[in-house]
Order: sequence, then C-alpha cells, then structure tokens
Amino acid sequence: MKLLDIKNINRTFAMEETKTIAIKDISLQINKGEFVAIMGPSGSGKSTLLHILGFLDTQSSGEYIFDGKSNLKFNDKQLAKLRNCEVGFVFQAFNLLGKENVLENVKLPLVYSDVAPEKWDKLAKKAIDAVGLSHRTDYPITRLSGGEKQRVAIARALVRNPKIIFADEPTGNLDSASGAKIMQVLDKLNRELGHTIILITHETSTAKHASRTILLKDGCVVSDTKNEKRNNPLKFKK
Amino acid sequence: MNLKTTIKSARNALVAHKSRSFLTIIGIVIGIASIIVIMSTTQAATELILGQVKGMGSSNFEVIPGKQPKGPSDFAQLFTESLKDRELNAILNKRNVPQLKAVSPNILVTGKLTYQGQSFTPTILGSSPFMAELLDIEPIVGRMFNESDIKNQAKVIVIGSEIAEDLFEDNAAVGKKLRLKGSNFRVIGVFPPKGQVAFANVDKMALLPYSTAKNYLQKQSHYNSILGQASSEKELPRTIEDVKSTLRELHDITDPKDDDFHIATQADLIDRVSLITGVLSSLLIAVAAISLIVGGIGIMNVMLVSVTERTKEIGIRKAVGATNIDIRNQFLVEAIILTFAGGFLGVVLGAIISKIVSIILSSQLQIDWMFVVPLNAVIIAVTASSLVGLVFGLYPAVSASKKNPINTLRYE
Repeated sequence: MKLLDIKNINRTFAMEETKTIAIKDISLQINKGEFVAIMGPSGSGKSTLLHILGFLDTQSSGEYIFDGKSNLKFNDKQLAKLRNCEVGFVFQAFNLLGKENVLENVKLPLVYSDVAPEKWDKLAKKAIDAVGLSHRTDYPITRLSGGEKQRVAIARALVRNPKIIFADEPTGNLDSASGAKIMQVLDKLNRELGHTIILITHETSTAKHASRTILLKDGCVVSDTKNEKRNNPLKFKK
Repeated sequence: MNLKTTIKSARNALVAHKSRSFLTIIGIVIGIASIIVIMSTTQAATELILGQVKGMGSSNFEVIPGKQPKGPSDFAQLFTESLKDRELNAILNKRNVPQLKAVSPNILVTGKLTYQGQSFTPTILGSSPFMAELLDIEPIVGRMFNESDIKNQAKVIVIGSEIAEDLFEDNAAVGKKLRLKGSNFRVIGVFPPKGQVAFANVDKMALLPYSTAKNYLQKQSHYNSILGQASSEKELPRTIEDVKSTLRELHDITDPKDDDFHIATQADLIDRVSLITGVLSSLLIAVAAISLIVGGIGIMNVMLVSVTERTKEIGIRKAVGATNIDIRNQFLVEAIILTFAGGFLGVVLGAIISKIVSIILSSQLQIDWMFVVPLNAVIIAVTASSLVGLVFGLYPAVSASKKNPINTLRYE
C-alpha cells in the first residue's frame, strides 16, 4: 500500500546569484512497511530528499503525496502535526536536548501532541523499553555513550508510534558494535512492529538491512533495487 | 503545548543559566525598586504632610493676603499688604463675624536671637496667645504672653525648648534678656519639646506679641496672615463667608474675582497637598520608568543571544512537532518569567530600601516617617515588569519561531 508518492520533484537552493540544484526530477513511491536505504556520495541530495519527505523542507517544484495528501496543502500547524505524529526522525548527530535526561528527551514529542500529560511518562517509558534502555530512564544525556544516545533518539522517534521513521546516517557517528545495535533496533521496528523506515547511509553493510536500496547521484536516482538478501537480524540484546 | 508545560520548560531553561538570568533582570530589579521607593516615600511624605495639615484643626482657617495663586506669576500677590489693623478689627467685630471664636494675626520676624555672644536663628512669629492654643502647646516654664502684653507692645518672648537649651545651658531661661534686632526681649516662658506641629518645629520657634513684632521689629503696617477659629467645625463655612464679605465690603470688592485675599482651610490644604504629591509622584515614576525601558532592552539583547545559542534546540523542537507559535510562546514566557521575577525582586528590594529610609528619616529628623508599601505600587510594579517582558521579549521570540528547521538542525 502506497505511503509516499513523489512525482518529478526538484529542490533548488539560491545563494545570492548562484543556484544549486540539490534534487533533480526525482519520482518514486514507498509502500507501508518498507525498509528503504538511500545511498549515494556526499552532495548527492540524500539528506535534502529526506528533509522533504519528513516535512522539514518543501520541494521547489513537483508533487509529494503523503498518505494521499499533497504536502503543499499543509500550513505550519499541520506540518508540525505531521512531524509530531506521522513521522519520526533519527539524526546522525542524535539531536537530543543535552540538559535533559533520557525520559524528558523521549517525552519531547508528546509535549507538542494532544496526548494527555498523565500518559506521557507511560508512553515514553514504553518507547525507552523498546530500544532496550529501561535501565537508563533517568540518566542525563551527557552520561550516555554514542550508541545509547542514538537509541534514545530512536525511542523519541517511536514515542508517537509514527507511520514512518526517517534515519539520517544513524550509525555515522558510532563505532561498529554500537552501529550494529542500532541497526538491530531499526530492523526490529520494521519487521516486528511494521514501521516504514527510510534510512540514509554511506555504508553498504548498513544498507543490507534494508529491503530496498535507492542510489542517488547529483540529485538524481541512479538505481532503485530490491534487496533479496536482506540481513537476517540478530536477536536484540541489551 | 499547554501553558503549564510551556512555563515548566521556560523555567528549566532559565534555571539552566542561573547567572545569566540573574544578570539579565538586574535592570528590571533596579527600575521596579525605584518605583516602589518613590511610591513608598511619596505616600509616607503625603501622610506626614497631611498629618501636619490636620494639626491645623478642622474649625480653623487662615486669611492670607493676595488672591489664591493659580500659577507662578500669582505668587507675587502673597506680598500684598491687604491685611492691616483695619481688617483685623473688622473681623474681630462680632457683628461682622459672629461665630469667630479666636484670632491670631501673624507677623513673620526675620532675625536671630543672641544671648551673651551666642546666637540662634529660630522661626520668630508675632502672634496672639491663640497661636499657642492652636499649636496645642503651653509653656513648661513661665507663662505665655497675654492680651495686656499685646496692648502694651511688651518686649517679651516665649521660646522653644531647643532655643532654651542652646542659649541657656542651665535651663534657667525665664527672666533672661535676649537681643533681637537691637532690642532686648525678656524671656517669659519656654515651650516643652514637641517637635513638628502643623508646618512648624515648635522646638525652634519663638512667639512674641504681634503688636510688638509689627511696630518694633518689622516696622510694617500689615500682617502676613490672620489665623482664625470658628466656634465649631459646623460653623466654619459660615464664618469664612462672613470674613469674606466683611473684607470685600471693606475693600469695596463686588466681584469675588477681584479679591485681594484668600482663605485656606484644612480641607483646602489637604486637597492641594494631595494634588502636589500626586503630580510629583507621577513625574518621578515617569523618570524611573526609563530604567525599566533600559532594562527591557537588556532583556531583549539577552533573549536574542539565547535564541542564537539555542538555535539547534529550536530545530529539534520543530522536528518533533513544535509549531512556530509553540516556539514563540516558549521564548516569550521565558522573557515574561524573567521580568516577573525581576519585578518581584524589585518590590522586595524597594520595600527594604523604603524601610531603611523610614528608619533613617525617623531617627535623624525626629519625625514620624511611616514605612508603607502601597498595594497599588506592588500591582503596578509587577504588571509593568511583566509587560516589559512581553514587549521586549516579543521580537526575539518571533525571530526564534521563524527559524527554518533545516538550518537550525544544522547549526553548530
């Protein structure tokens, strides 16, 4: 079932007199429950595409249909609501609030939701548990390892039970062991909980977790292939 | 994001930067403290002056030469020589002013009292014995001068306690002779220490017969004012009207606008004092409000720095669902909490300073200076400080809310 449908989208950045074309005429569809890896060299437009798909940015031209609705018809409030409850983000640099603890960070999307405040703690703890960090609930962010920080970011992305999770190089700042754990978590979310995941990565080994790989170059889709040999995830361990 | 969460989030952000938050609100604290001190001292001064005015007595009045001054140019009228013996006698005539109980024509005497090379510059007033009644004082030693002394233009004087202590250390002033403007005056009485009574410090005051002051000392034919007392408070308006019509008839005045005298009562003075202190207080508050504006600009600067520093946080919040309005409200509430806290601390500081002022003034000037922090001052101060937060926090808050989520997330 089609979740995302983009048709001929372009994204141009104007800097004084120069124009940079980040995305050129990309069209693709992503179905519910897919795990898509977007690969490509630096400057190929991966992050720009992810930002448009995640409602953090809008295309210069073309059409983006999310769950049957065009993104251009949403106002600031509606876009914020989509970012809050339909999509979740996991960034390479974690992007957590450094002065808050794990629980407060995971609760952050709930603060901007219609969910009753008395349910916030329960939902946040459930998400923290899903990424195997129950023992770190009250820890300050500054005391966590890189891998743990990224799992907190995943828990934050999960807490609103979104339809789709966007992960922008989630293992880019992590050692291989921590990176593997993150991929196990994302695998689990996709396979067991049915979350659609779109992942940006430079690493082929990471992309092997995805069921589909899209390769970008100079803002264009170079290839879009199904991954028949998708990695069989290891059982997740804390 | 609901208000409770916004306030909690704003409070956490401010607590995380305690020193900066404190330094930011200093301007507001000083501004609000100034307003509290001004309003407190003005109120205390008003109470003090009104207390003095009330000491004038509710059935008393004062006939003053010249028409009621309505502006600075009219003050010259006060030097009009429209009150002389003729006017005094007309007022004293029972047929003209039947409800008049007592009268004291007053003559201000300039000069200093000297005794054996030592001198004292007091307030010297030529008056009648009624003046002592009015001030509610009676000599503690000796006697007050009487009608006979007035009739005989006797060179006698009754002095305040401070003059007696200063010039006669052994406290045996009665019977001694003081020199005033080249003449000897015999001290016939000493008033007890009483401090300030109705605009005059009795301890530094000397009274002598008005006839003596008029003919020997000031060598003038007119009086500076005539104090009168009606038989009762109820009879005061009628008595005043009688005095007015008597003087108008004497001076051939048909239109009250042409009056060459005016009459002050306790009620008039209370109105005038309230008006003057009110205007003065408003002017001073306006000056103090400038410091609030300066403080507000400080708040705006720090909030702009805070917005820049927390650019990434803004991006994170937007990425997880914060609307522009959520971000704006968060920074706006931070500014308002800052200035509200500044206002609260300002009220406390202002109250402490006002208390210190009241202690110093009461002990140094020996006056009953009240410590009062008016409720309206507190309400004005806290509201004004919060408004400063709202006004000066708005621009940084709006600029924070307009930040692009992508750029803010990339910010390092």
